[in-house]
Amino acid sequence: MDSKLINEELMAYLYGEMSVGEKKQFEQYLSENPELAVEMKEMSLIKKVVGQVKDKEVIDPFFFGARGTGTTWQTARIIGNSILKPAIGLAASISLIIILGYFTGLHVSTESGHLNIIFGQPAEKEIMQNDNYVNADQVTDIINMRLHEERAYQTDRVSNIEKNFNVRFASDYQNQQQEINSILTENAAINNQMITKFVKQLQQDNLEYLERYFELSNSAQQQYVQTLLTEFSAYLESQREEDLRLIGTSLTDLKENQELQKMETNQVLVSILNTVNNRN
Amino acid sequence: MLVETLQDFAIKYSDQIVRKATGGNEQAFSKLMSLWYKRIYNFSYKYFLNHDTAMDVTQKTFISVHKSIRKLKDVNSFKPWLYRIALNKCHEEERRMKRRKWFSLFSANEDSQQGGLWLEPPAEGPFYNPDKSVDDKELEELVLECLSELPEEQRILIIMKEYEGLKFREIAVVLNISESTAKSRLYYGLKAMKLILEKKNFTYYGF
Repeated sequence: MDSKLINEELMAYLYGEMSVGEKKQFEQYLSENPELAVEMKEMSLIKKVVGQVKDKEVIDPFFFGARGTGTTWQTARIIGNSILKPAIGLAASISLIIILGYFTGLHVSTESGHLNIIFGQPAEKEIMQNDNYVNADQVTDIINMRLHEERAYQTDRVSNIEKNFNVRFASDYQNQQQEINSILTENAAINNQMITKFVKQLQQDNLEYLERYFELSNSAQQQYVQTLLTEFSAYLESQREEDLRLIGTSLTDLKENQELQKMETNQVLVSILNTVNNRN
Repeated sequence: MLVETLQDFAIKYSDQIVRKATGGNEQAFSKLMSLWYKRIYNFSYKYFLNHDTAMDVTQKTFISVHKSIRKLKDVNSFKPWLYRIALNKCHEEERRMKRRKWFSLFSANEDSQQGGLWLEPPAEGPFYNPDKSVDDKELEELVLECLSELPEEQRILIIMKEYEGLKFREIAVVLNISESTAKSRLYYGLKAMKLILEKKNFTYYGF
């Protein structure tokens, strides 16, 4: 036989996917080829080792059924992944930018049509008024004033942005909450009805399965009991024959004993007669 | 006829549920999902050896099944059809993980590779040897580790045949190969498993 074909047959035999005829034929082939029989044994050992891995238990999610084109299950995923998560992410990013801007002293201003973005304190400018220079104190005052104004402006701005963001976030959150509530309310009635139906159907189905299971188990048990009874009656028959043989043997023994006793009695009588004759 | 569990029994006689589900009956689909969820999860778990990924793939598989179950014409081909979807989802997930460069399918336990393990033999019978000891958990881990080192085409065959109990003709349908190729791949898969186990100093009485 071709070795590739033998390997395939080996697998079919190992996993019980052979007809009765094929199985007999292959077993014959195995008995004629001890090397193949060894390989078969090895394979069944590996199969046994591989088969040591047990199933992991997992709880399947409850499925309520469809509403429109999507399911509540999918809806939950959509709500969970597509709306809330990006919204929260966006909000977090904006907050982070605002806070970083505040702490790094970010200044954004326009001057003579130019956009100025400054981190930290703005560089001092050489201020000239006509021919007179401004003294250091004045410069400090101007800078302080400007810084104060700028800080106040930025604080206002940050608080405004924060306020707007909070308002918007709250309204978005409320809208989403309303949407979720409306979906849940819509589904609640349908779901309750469906759950009742589902449970009823489940009970009915389980009953059917159990009935079928017991039916099949009963037939297997009947077969088993029948085999048991047949075997038991055969056992009784053999036991009876054995007993009869024993009785027969006992009777023979008894007969032999009786004959022996008779012979002994005769011998005793003969000896008594001899004794009496001798005396006379 | 002997049946392992009530769930296995229900799976064997689930034709009517599949028929109802293909007709758009959501309750039937729900039942079908609860019947097959554990099987698909375990299939995915043995593919990735990661609970979260397996859960994800299982969920995606059933979303896909829900979308396309109405297209299933032959109720009897539900099982290979389902496993085909599951396998496709596994491949998709694998590609996605590779793209993200955090694919860590073969997270082998280094400790178990160094010392070598012994399968705990039974307390009596031909495999009895009191010197050898390894608990079931360690053996499971070792087998899964060895399984993950196999080439994919052999690994899939072992998972489908040994753990999922698919017939060779069903595996042939799932993988779009001939039955004889399926048998051949399984043969070489088991042979390779033996070699890997030996490399890891695993000894089983009779090896």
